[in-house]
Amino acid sequence: MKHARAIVAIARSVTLEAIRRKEIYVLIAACLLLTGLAFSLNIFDLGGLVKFYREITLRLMGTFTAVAVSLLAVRQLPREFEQRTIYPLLARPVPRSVFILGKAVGVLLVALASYALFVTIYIIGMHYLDGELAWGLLWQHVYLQFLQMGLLTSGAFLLSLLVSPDAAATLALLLYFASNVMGHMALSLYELTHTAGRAFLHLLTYALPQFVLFDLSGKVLHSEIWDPLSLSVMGALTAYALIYSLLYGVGAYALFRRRPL
Amino acid sequence: MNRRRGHSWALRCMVPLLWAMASLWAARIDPHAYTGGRERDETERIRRNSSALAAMLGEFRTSISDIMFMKTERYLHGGVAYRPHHSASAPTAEDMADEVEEHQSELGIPDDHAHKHSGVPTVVPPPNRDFRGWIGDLHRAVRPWRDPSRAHIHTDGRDLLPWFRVMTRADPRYVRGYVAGAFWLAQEDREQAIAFVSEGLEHNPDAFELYVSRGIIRLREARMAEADRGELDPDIRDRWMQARNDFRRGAELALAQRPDDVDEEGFGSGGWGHYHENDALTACRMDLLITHRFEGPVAMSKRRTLYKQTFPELADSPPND
Repeated sequence: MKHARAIVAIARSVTLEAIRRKEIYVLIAACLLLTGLAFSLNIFDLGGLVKFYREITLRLMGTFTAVAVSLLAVRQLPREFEQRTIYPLLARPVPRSVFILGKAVGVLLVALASYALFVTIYIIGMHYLDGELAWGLLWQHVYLQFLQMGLLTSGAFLLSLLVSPDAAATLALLLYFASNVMGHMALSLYELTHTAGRAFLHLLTYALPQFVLFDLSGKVLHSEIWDPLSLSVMGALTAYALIYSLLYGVGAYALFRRRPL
Repeated sequence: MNRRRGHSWALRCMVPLLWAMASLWAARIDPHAYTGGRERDETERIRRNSSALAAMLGEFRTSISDIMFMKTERYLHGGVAYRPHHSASAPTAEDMADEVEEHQSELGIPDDHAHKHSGVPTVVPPPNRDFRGWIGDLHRAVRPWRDPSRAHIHTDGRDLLPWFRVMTRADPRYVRGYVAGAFWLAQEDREQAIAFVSEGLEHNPDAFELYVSRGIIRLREARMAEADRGELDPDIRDRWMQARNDFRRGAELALAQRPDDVDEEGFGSGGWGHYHENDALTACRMDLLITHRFEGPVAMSKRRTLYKQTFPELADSPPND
């Protein structure tokens, strides 16, 4: 509470920077353009082919938000050192942990705003196509996507202090997009490896963020079959996201503290 | 110094040369000429896709059209991802009395298919085979997942149609996409289904499977029209003839393409598989049946003499001859 104003001020500066840099506009425009293109496709003059549009839109929403978050998050901490804007900030009584938290809140606000816009377009599109919205699963998906963005933000912060911002953005997006493939790869390799290899796969599974756990789009897509997740599963996923975000955040904080001014 | 200058000139000369070569090469690129990335033989394709490498690469298998085809399989199973399994339980001739139904069953999912299909492994394994512990539990909870021992869920094939449209646009040589897409499209709109297969034939004029597919749709159309009107008017007769022509053309192409070394199970060299053998046999049988009805036993007998050199089992076809 003591540092709430500082967090708000830092978060505000992040959102203002995102607005000023215009990258976010390009990403939103590209996503909306592709979504519009998908909705305008004429498939054999048949109507009511909702699942296809659902899948395309949900994929685009997740992808573009992840790209926006990664690009924005990796720049936050290194840029402060490069442009020497960290000095006036730290001259004030703002702990570095609060500084990082403010940056994370700012990135998440931008992610939330982008995703909210995409969800609005999705709802309008489904309404236009007379598609069922399955509100329970949809809101759970939105919530899980938000948790995923938090995880991605803290991971991107950590990576940006380990490698250059460009490399950090590449690695963050690689981890995001390859999460599913890497999961399947680990499952296949586990049967082929022995003790040391299996230990490594365990380490990989528990050390790397499992973004795939926050993708409920498969159930949203086939919502006529699947029920919303139980509270215990939602609670477990929330705990997973918070714990891993905290761990990566603490790692980023430790590196940020050790970084010479 | 002179040496460095020489290198510099060499580089300056090479850049426009490479640029010119790249332009010439690019002009020769025909994306539709691509045929790699998949086997003609369904069984061979599935065997390869079941390999460790394919499993590891997961979604990124063989080609974009194959990926989309996998997606249609997932849609059919309510989003549940199973490992490729359709070769293991492809219906055989003994399973089906009606060969048209047999042909369709290979493309779609008949009602009894659901009961036969259980025990096929899922991409995300069950808890007793998943080393990830609670992460695996969460994964199964979040993803559409069903215990492999339980019967599969099967959904309406209508929602697959956009994927068939996109996959055949992406790769017009994807014959399987046209055949399977036409099967589902015919449930909605037969005219569109015929147009779709015809589009496939424009890109793949030698694909006898497409002639068989179009013949089946036209045959159904003719049968239904005849049943509705209660008589065989010239229009309906014309529809029967169109179906016959498709089967005949399909049979001719199939016989020309069929290798000599086809074994009892329908497999032969050059990727010839059980599905091709069934389609070839279907084309011949349907041609004989329709010829017998509209042109009489003499005309049918001539065709049968031609076909039974390859398929001796056609000696008794049609049975009421």
